[in-house]
Amino acid sequence: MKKRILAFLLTAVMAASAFAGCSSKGESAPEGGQAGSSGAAGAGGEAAEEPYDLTFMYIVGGDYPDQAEVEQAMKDLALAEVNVNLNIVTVPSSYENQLMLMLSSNEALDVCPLGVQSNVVSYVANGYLEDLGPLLDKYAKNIKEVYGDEMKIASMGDFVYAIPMNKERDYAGGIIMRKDILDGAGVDVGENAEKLKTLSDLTPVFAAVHEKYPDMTVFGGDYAYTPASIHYGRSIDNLGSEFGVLLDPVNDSTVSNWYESDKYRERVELMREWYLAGYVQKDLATSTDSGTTQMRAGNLFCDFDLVKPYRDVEAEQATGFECVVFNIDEPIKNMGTVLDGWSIAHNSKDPERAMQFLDWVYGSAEFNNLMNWGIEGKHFVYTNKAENNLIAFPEGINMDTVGYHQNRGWEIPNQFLAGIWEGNPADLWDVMTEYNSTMKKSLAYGFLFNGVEFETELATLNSVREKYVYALGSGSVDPATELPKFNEELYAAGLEKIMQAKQEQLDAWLAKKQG
Amino acid sequence: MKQSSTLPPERKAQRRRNKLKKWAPAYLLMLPGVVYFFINNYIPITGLVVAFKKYRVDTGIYLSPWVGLKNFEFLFATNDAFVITRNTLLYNLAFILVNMVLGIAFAIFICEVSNKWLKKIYQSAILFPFLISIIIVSYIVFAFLSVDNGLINKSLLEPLGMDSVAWYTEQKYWPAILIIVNTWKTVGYSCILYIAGIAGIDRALYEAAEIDGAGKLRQICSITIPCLMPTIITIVLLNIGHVFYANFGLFYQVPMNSGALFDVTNVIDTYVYRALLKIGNIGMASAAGFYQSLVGFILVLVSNGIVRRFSRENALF
Repeated sequence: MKKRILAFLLTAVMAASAFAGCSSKGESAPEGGQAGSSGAAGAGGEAAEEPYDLTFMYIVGGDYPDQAEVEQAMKDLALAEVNVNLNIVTVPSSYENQLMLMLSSNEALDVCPLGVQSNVVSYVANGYLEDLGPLLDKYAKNIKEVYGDEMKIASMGDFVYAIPMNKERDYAGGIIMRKDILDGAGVDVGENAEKLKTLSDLTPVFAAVHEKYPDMTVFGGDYAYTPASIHYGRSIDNLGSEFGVLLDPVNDSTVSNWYESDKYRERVELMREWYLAGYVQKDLATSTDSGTTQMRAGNLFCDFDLVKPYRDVEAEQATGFECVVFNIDEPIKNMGTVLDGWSIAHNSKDPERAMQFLDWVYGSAEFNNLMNWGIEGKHFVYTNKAENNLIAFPEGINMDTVGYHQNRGWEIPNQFLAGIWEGNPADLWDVMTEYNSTMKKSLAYGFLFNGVEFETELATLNSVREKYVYALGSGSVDPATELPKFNEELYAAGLEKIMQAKQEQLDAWLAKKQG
Repeated sequence: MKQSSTLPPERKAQRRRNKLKKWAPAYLLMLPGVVYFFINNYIPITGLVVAFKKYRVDTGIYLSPWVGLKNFEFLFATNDAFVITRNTLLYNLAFILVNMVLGIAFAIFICEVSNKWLKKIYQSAILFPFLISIIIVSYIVFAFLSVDNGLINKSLLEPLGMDSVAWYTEQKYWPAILIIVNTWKTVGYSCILYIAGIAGIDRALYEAAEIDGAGKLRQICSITIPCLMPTIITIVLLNIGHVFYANFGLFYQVPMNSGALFDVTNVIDTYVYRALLKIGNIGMASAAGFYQSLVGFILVLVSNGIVRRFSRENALF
């Protein structure tokens, strides 16, 4: 009996652990269409030649019933206008593994998006991507019109790895506040605008709100979104990772440690002050509910978020409250947003044709509309085409019944050509273009740090950062004791080595640019 | 054995054939399991080499260049190595101990319940948390511990006039919280194993003890626990093999990934996840897995060796 029970137990546990040990293997990417008949394609791209079979990958936010129909429309358009037979591969936004497999396995792939989290450096090092430099010189017309001198900005050394997506060129930070609460507390930001310059000027505003609405959370949101936790913007250039940054990127190319800077210390101290005063959501260090969600729920006065022109309109649409945006950072053009872009895979049978197609996409309003909003007349309509670019749902269609509606403008090549959804200002793209073109530029704009040799250090630095940055950034621990410990552990994890390497690579890049 | 060695060779072969014939259906039954284990658990072992390589997708695992022990460096690069090893080992040992003691206790209680329906209800109730996703568990815990709206702060500490506690930034409470949560979640499972063990004990032993005048406590100490010993040892040995694998969800989700708690919640699995999430280096992740398996393997051998010394028939091998 004893033996039998033992045997039974063993089997049960073994079986259980065997199932637990099962890990899902990476699924093989779907079979792409065979690219062929391109051998004869000449450089000219004349209408007389055979259509080129081109595999085009793009990101979709979800499954829409009319996906196939939209794809057919995209195919028809591409065939008619650039003589290309599109084979469309749609991927979810976490598509990195699939892209890596397709790039590495010689599968048919011509044009693909690169995401912010993509391992661009290793793609380039492993030779997965086509160098777009010479192709741009030869074929860029629309792209040149959009970007001018900056069309080759997404490069590593001389190797151009991507064409950036058309959007804002820095993710600057700001505080988004509910206007009705401001009015209720008797704070007139419009009137006091000249008094509010820096972040610490908000303290009296928070105090007034806290006094008038004691039950309301004054500052809250997602743990990664506080002025001290965020890893975008801040008027610095983080050179691709948080370890070794340019504190004054417009004037000074010295690589320094952000977490030792006065600016960072001031921000964590201010967060601590707010936290102790009771303004900050107590669970902020672990909160995963975005400020937008909390504000919509009605008990949050303000949150920190990335801002751009007309952010207040966007905030009002998302939260249902009229909002005031207080900009804390001056935006500075840096590489952070340029890592999102469109590339041509090394697998491409004919990169020249792929570039011609991509250049056409950057000039085709219709194609960008198809990618983002679907088919005109069925999924969206222009409300007043003669006047402006505004679009809306057709009669009788709404968010729940529409067959295709991506609304992911930041992931399509050129959203500035596409329609602007109703409710946004009609001059959105003009203002955005102005915003980008007047933005100051980091000295390192165009520089990409090659950290392939430092993966051990970057891994340990990441884990040190995770340990401190959100606790400090939410004000829930005392910076007087924790900040020195944080920096000590960063240096122990090899920060100096990364900073040195960044400085060396940056200096070499700057020298080359000069010469 | 002695007998068979005196038999002539042809008889021996005959016996072997007979034996094979007799056991053939059993082997056949075993076959799918063996094939499964071979494909799923043994073939991938060769992939361990990736822990010693700089993995390149284009060339594949076996043609990637060797890098020696470089992938292991990050595990030991900072003094975190000590913290995560200590946390992993101590928490798991505490879990094994608490689960064993409470598991046996609950198993005995449940077996003593004479009403069949109540017994089933208790048994299911205690198993229920085991079936809940750890994400949901983490939010149940959050409902208790939330600073702004949590049950403990709002309904217990504040009405009693005590200061509320910022649970997710105070390290000192977490060893206890994690042990309580883990016990609540998993004790039902080990309890079931022990109930199966108790069900297998010969009732005649209890009847004899009762006649001899032994009380309930005496029966438990002298019959139930000694008879459960093989089950206990098996379960503990199997758990020790996993002592270097932490329950990722428990250590990552339940403390809400709060940085201020890392000193008491960081275990190997969470450390590796946090360090490599942004880098995606397969070689380094495999190195961590390899290190865990190696330590687990050694621990199983050592503890089995100890068991064998003291009670040979209870050892696994």
